[in-house]
Amino acid sequence: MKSQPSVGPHHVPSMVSKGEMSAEEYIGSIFDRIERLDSRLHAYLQLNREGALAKARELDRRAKKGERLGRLAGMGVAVKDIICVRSLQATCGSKILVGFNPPYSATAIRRIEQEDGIILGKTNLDEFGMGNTTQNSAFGPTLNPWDVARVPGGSSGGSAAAVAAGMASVALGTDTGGSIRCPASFCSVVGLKPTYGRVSRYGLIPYANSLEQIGPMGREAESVSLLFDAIAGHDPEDATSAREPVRPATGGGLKGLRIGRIKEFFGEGAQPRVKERVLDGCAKLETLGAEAEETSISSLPYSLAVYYIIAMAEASSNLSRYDGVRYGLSLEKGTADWNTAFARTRSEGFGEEVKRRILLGTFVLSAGYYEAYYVRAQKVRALLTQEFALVFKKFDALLGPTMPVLPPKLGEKVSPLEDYLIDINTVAANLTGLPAISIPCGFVDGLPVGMQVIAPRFREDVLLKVATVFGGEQGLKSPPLAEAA
Amino acid sequence: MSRRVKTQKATSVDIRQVERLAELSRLSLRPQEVERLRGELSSILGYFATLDRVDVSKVTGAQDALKDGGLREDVVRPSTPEEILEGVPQKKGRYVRAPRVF
Repeated sequence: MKSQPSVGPHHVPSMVSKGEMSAEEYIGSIFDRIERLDSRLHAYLQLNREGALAKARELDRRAKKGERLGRLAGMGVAVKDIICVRSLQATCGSKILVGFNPPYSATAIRRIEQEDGIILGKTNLDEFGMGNTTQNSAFGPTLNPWDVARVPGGSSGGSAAAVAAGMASVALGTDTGGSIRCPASFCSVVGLKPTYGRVSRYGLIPYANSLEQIGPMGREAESVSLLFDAIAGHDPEDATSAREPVRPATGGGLKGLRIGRIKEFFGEGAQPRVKERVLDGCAKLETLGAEAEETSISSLPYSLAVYYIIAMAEASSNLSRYDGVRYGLSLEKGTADWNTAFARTRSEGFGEEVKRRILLGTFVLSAGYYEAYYVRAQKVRALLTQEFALVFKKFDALLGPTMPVLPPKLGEKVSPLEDYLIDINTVAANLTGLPAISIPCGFVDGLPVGMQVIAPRFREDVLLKVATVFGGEQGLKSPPLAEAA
Repeated sequence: MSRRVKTQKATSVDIRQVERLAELSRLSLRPQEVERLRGELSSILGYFATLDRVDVSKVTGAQDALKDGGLREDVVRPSTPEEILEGVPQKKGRYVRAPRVF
């Protein structure tokens, strides 16, 4: 089997279970593609070739014996390198963690393995998840499979590029302010940020605990659903993990689904042709039975400032753990005192963006400014949450462009603030804990556009239904580079 | 939502403040880094000041992240000290070697 089988990845588990497909050949074909394509795309930081093929052979043996296999049997999963997989180095895209081999696996990884999913390797990201281009990785950028002169988005850019180019069946990303949805949008894949507390964060190396979630990415909604079902659910290891039962995905159409088009998501910052594509997408949902109407959330324009204040505050506290003493990079071998040694390792180990966020986080939490920045941001966050709850009395789902712009060119010079501004449509879901998905929604000049849909807490089933029905209508397109491979 | 509320917000920082923040954050910055960061931090803080326009006088309390999950019993379970020690950059026997404190 030289090329990818023509079946979608979500068919793989049943085919492998029935012995209609060899997991070893399938996984082998994925690694062949990685070999052909990844020297150009740089989606992976580390491969788990031997481990993955061994697991695939084991599945084939068990299938032959007629054993029942798990829900993800034979699916190859790429893992963002901020999620711990026992015995694979975890870098977070940072020099400061070089050499760190986590002694345990994240709950999401354990669940994937229990369901017979196969871990392919660790994917590139903006350092500690801080960025929207994957250019903030200490190991060099990932390129967009649709146009290698452009960024794949971030911070889960490696996972998105891997899935888009067929170098993984599905992938795990993490989303603190849009880090699953942004690269999903830029690479034309489906990316789901679950409700806060839906997927355990145990084994996710933290950046901003009150905002982040692990979530699934894939080319089609069906495989994203499969991976989501495998990783969702309560975990006693994470005190913020929700006990609410996971709603099973339902079939059926969109008839009667009330969709609110959020006026602020189509604001002046959004490129006109991106808006057009998403409005076309919304119109298509209406022809499929949904009812759409414009609505407004007046505090949305403030969400970006709120997000960056809270995320930076949490980052400055979280990242104080990197001291060069217990694990990772350690530069001071001499007799320097604690603070000098500590500062030297951190200054060499962290990249520019990480340092900027630590400094700003320290500032907004410092005496004299704490009330004016951090406390105020938390209050506006509460307002935003109330406003969303109110709008959801009238609508089942809210919609807008995921990213207001097309994928930027690699190496484009923008100020940090200008760079933050393109997160304007994604951060609200993290601040409010709501589930949100980015669904491929056509192209402008060959570059992907993503449509974001947000649902009430724990209603991932609504998002996955919209993505499944819409995706079925749109059909799948592959990046030219991946088709040639 | 446009009522102005008084706060003690600084919308720019000077060199000395950046140096103080670096000290608190345990980062050592080169002089040109300090100068660049002064400009960047000031423009970002200026943007943060847009929150002054929001009336938050009626907001009480923040979100409670723990309301669904809750805490578990603290139970002793087997651990892997050897594996954890393997990753320590500098050690002496089973001790982690740290820079001097005094």
